[in-house]
Amino acid sequence: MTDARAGPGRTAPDAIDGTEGGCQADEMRTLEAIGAVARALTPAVVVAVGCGAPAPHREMGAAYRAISQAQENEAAEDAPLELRQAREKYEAGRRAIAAGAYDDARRLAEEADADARYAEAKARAERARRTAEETRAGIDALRREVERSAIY
Amino acid sequence: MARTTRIGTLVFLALAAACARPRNAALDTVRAAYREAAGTAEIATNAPAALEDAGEALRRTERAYADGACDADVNALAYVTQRRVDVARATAARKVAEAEIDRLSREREDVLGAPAQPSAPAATPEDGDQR
Repeated sequence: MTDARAGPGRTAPDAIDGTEGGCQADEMRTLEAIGAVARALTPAVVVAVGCGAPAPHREMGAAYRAISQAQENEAAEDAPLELRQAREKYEAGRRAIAAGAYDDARRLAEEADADARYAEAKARAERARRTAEETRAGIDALRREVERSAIY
Repeated sequence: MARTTRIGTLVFLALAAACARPRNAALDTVRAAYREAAGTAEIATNAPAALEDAGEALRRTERAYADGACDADVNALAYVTQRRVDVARATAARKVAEAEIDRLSREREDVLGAPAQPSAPAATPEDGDQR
C-alpha cells in the first residue's frame, strides 16, 4: 500500500521538470508514468493472487456458527468425531490468524465449517434412524399385546 | 511433408503435456464421489438442495484448479466438497428414516384401531434438506 502512494508522489517533481525539457524528457516522463502505474497496481495484483489476503474473519465466523448449530443438534453425542475435527480446525485457525498465516486460517475455517455441517447432518440422520427403530420396536410390542388380548 | 506434420504434432503434444498441470488426486477423488452421489436415486430424490451445494463446491474446486491455485487451496476445497457430498448422503438417509417414521405412525394407528399419539417427531413440510 505504501508503494501505491509513493508512486504518483515521486513522479510529480519529474512532471514539473518535464515542462521545460525536450523529447528525451518526454520519453523519461512516459517511462516514469508506466513505472508509477506498475507500482500502484502491485498491491492489487498481490491481493488477487492471494498472498496479501486479509484475515479470514468472515470464514471464521461462519465456522463458529456452524459448530454452535451442530452442538445444538446434539452432534456431541451422535457425531463426536466430526464435531471434534471441526473444533480442532477452528482452534488451529485461531492460532494461524494470531501467527499471521491468513491463508492457512482461511483453509482451516472452511474445513471446520464443512466438518461442523456434516456433524450436524450426521447427528440428525442418526437420531431419525434411531427413532424409526424404536417406533418399529414399539409397534411390534403393541402388536403382540393386541394379539394376546384377542386370544384371552 | 506428412512426416514433418507428424513430427510437428508430436512436438506440440509433448509441449502441451509439459505445460499441463499435474493431476490433483484429491480433486479426482471428490469428482468421482460427487458423480456417484448424484447418480444415486435415493440422494437425488431426498436431498436435491444438499446435492446442489456439493455440486457448487465441486465447481469451486475445479475453478480454483483451472485458475492455477496452489495445491493447499485445491486440497482444502476438495475436502469441503467431500464433506458436502457426505452431508447429502446423511440428509438423504435422514429423509428415508423420517418417511419410515411417518409410515410406522400410521401402521400403529392401524394396530390400535384408533388414532394414536405419535411419539416420534414427524418431518415437517418446511424442514427441507438444506441443513
